[in-house]
Amino acid sequence: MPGYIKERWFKIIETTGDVTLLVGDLLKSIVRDKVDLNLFLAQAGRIGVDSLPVVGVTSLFVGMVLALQSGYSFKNVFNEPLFVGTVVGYSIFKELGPVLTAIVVAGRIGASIAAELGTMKVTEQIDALYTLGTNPIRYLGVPRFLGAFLMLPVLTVYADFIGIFGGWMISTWKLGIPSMTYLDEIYGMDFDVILHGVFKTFVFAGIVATTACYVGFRTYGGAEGVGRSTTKAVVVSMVMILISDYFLSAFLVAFGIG
Amino acid sequence: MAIQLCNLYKNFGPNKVLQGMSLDIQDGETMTIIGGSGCGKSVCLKHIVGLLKPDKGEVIVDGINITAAEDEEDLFAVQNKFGFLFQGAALFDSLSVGDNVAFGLRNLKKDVGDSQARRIAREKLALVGLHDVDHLKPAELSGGMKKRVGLARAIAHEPKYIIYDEPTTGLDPITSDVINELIIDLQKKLSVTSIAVTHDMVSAYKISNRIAMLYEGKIIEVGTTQQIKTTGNPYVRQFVTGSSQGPIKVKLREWE
Repeated sequence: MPGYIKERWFKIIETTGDVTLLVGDLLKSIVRDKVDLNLFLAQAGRIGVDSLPVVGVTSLFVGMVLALQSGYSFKNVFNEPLFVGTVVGYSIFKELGPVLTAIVVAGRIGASIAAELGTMKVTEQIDALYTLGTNPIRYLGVPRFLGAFLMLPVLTVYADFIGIFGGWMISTWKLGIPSMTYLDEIYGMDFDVILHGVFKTFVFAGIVATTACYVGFRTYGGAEGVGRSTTKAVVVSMVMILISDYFLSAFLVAFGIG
Repeated sequence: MAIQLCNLYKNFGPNKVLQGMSLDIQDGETMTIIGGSGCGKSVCLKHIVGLLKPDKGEVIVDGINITAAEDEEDLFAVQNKFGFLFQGAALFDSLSVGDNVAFGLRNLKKDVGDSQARRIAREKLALVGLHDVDHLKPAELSGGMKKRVGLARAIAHEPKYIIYDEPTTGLDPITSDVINELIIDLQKKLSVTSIAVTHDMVSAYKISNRIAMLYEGKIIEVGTTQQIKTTGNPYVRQFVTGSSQGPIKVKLREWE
């Protein structure tokens, strides 16, 4: 095997090991130490409340465009816009709600966590925490990890309803579908469908928070390093969200959830 | 012997930083480690407080081998003895100056209440010559003030040892001298043991009882300030006089 490929493999194995250790430390700290409620609430607010506008706008327009596209497509095939509620509902609850919310949060929160922790690392603030008797994983990592873990599912449910509302607006105003027809199709869905989407967000939250904390704590090389970490946190999170989404969906469907 | 560094080795990838470094630091003295940029001075300090673990060798603080400390609590017990002034002060941006200074107190001294921590923070800020700044954010301070706040934070929990990582780097000569005076003043008032690293010889001569020179990962000479000034060692001589001519070769151009 050529040297550079071998090196690359070692790097991948090393990173996987380091990420596992970080997750282990985070979980150990959550179980063993008292979580600082103030720090946790501050992060939950930043991740949850502050993301409401951007998540709302994104899912509103996604719901609207879904209704528009599916409505016109079905009109071309069946001469009338059938199943728009079903298409919008399934797409939003199972895929677009969770995935797009996770991607928006990866861009907004993943980047900011990586930049914040990265700056603290290169300006020796992380070392300073240690010398002042504070474990950075507990003080910085845990509140961000828990904040993402609890807020992403809440944001997703919020995004789901805004998306459904967007679809309803276009269905009734633009496509002329009676409001009750659209809503009956939504009400008729199994609760499992929503559960399918929400379940995935816990994994996505873990991906976003762990990636951002990992690259943040590992930042080196001044301002340039912080920039590199920020980009890495967003790109890696997004790609991993999309890849894991396929496998999670397959897994959940196999177990009859959704 | 207060602190002993015994035969430390540390590599970062292919980069060999410490290669058998040994140094003894006595109680109550101010020891300054001098050496060129990137020679491993800061790395050495981080080993003393347990922020880095050596690949080989031991760091002994008050008779305890801290390199063997596995448990976080053991490490914090050691770090309780140290106050660390970082090169760029490393103040927490999100906290006010007062909270920065009180931060260590709240974590390291479990018996100190919140109001007491605030009072001590104000006292320590006064000790480094700052008054009525505890509500400001670090971004609102000048470089010299940041160093002072960093110093107040380092001494807040009344450590036995104070560590200075390039205390005067990046400051103008007058502010540098003020920081030097402050270090000497604290030394007298608190009678602590201090370890500083610097390549500012004016500062080194002013604050130190003894000076050690680190070169290529090893201590090549240790002596009193006077001994270092009149040393016969050509490497130390070249460094303290600041000459480009001598046995230490620094390339003018990287490709030479």
